[in-house]
Amino acid sequence: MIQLFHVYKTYERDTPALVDVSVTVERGEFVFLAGQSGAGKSTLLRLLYAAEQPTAGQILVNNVNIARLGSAGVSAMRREIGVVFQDFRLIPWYTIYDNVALAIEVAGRGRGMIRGRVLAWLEHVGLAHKFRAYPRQLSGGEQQRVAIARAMVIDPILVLADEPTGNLDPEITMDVIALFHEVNARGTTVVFATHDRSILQSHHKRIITLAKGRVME
Amino acid sequence: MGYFAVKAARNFSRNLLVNGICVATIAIAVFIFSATLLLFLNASAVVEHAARGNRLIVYLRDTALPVDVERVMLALRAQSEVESVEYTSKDRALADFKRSLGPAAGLLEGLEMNPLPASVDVTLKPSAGGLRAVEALAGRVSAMDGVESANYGREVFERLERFMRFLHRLGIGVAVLMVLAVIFIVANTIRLNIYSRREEIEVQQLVGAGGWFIRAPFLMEGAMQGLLGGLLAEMLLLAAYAVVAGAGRSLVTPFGEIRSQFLSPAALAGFAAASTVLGGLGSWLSLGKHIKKFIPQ
Repeated sequence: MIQLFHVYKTYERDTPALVDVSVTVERGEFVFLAGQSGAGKSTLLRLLYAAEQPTAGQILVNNVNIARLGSAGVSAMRREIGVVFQDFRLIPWYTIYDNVALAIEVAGRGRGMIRGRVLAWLEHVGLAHKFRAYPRQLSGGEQQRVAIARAMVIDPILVLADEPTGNLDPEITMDVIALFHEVNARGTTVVFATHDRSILQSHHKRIITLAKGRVME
Repeated sequence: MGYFAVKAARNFSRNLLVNGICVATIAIAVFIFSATLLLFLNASAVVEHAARGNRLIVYLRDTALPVDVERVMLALRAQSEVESVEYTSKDRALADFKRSLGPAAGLLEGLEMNPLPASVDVTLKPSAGGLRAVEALAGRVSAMDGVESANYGREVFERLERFMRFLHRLGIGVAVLMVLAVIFIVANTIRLNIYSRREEIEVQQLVGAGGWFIRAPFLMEGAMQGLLGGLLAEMLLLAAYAVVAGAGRSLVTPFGEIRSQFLSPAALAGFAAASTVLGGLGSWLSLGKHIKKFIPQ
């Protein structure tokens, strides 16, 4: 699903964020991306959803070289990838329903189909009864569940999660991780970035460790 | 399309204050232009009416003898372009004047002599050729014995023509300003809206929204601002017209009474359409400049 070949990323006047990263993630795999803050986890994820281009090296996602994608190609690729962040990235003035629906609306699907899928996913994350609420009316854990529903409602081939439990307390963290496992059980590839050792120790999945931009697998 | 329109309407109501100020400012710009056009339209009607002028008043000297008067009358009746000729004596002129003064007629009681001249009111045939024919006849009549002057409102007409030329230039200037104002106002408002919605734009991109999906609601919002501003301006203009001219009321001019007129439905629709297009254009210009900061090329 993901192949990185000798990927480098250097920001202007800064130390390299990624150095000679070569990694492969198989289709349907659940992988933890571990490392301290500043190790390059977020940079690697940003490269995978084409928010940035590598300074050198090649990146294939679902057999597509993302360095060669134009802006329309990037948009099309993102419509197949779900991304979840530590800070949820929900639109404050959209209802919960609208936040989740947005992910399918961009693909121009029919309204009836959108409604069914959105409500099904909100039901799945236990928030169907709050579909008219706004993000500020929800707890952090609930907001993250909405973000997961938004990532999953498109039936993605790949889910990228950047410290999705970083702002949550331990109990809710377990619920959220359980949701990612469920997603993975449906066949979706999951890349889950975290610096939380307890999460890494309690879930027996492959771990790719980054330190100062280098892979320490 | 409907999806984007709903989105644009929601965004409009979410930033109601900023958008409301934008619409009001557009309305003022469009109102000034359409009011200038309306003034031009009615003044044109007066000029047109005056150019079709068919009346001439020949004032006679006080020293004119009855035989002179008779000669003038005969000469006028002999002109092929003249339809009718009516003589008004000094006494009748004074009586008419007193009647027109109404209750203020008492002011004239102290007069020792009648200051008003006798006159001949000449009406030309509609086919005579308008103001040029009147002017030519006035020139010939003025040279006759016993004639003081021949008046057909030339000075007023010339003043009106100068005013029309001024209005024409003013209209062009105001039109240019209106176009620039609407584009500038909408572009600025959309710029503010882009910045206030940057979170939304970022999330839209994250979930794979294309450029059109992101831009369309802003474009529609700009067009909506233009349309609402245009419609508001037209309502203001109609209200102002009803107060100042009164719907269908006659305008009293030196060339007779002319029915006042409002802009045609086609012109009103044109204004609303132009204002909508200008709003969309302002939005498009603003998007081209500011949204690139959020959408990677």
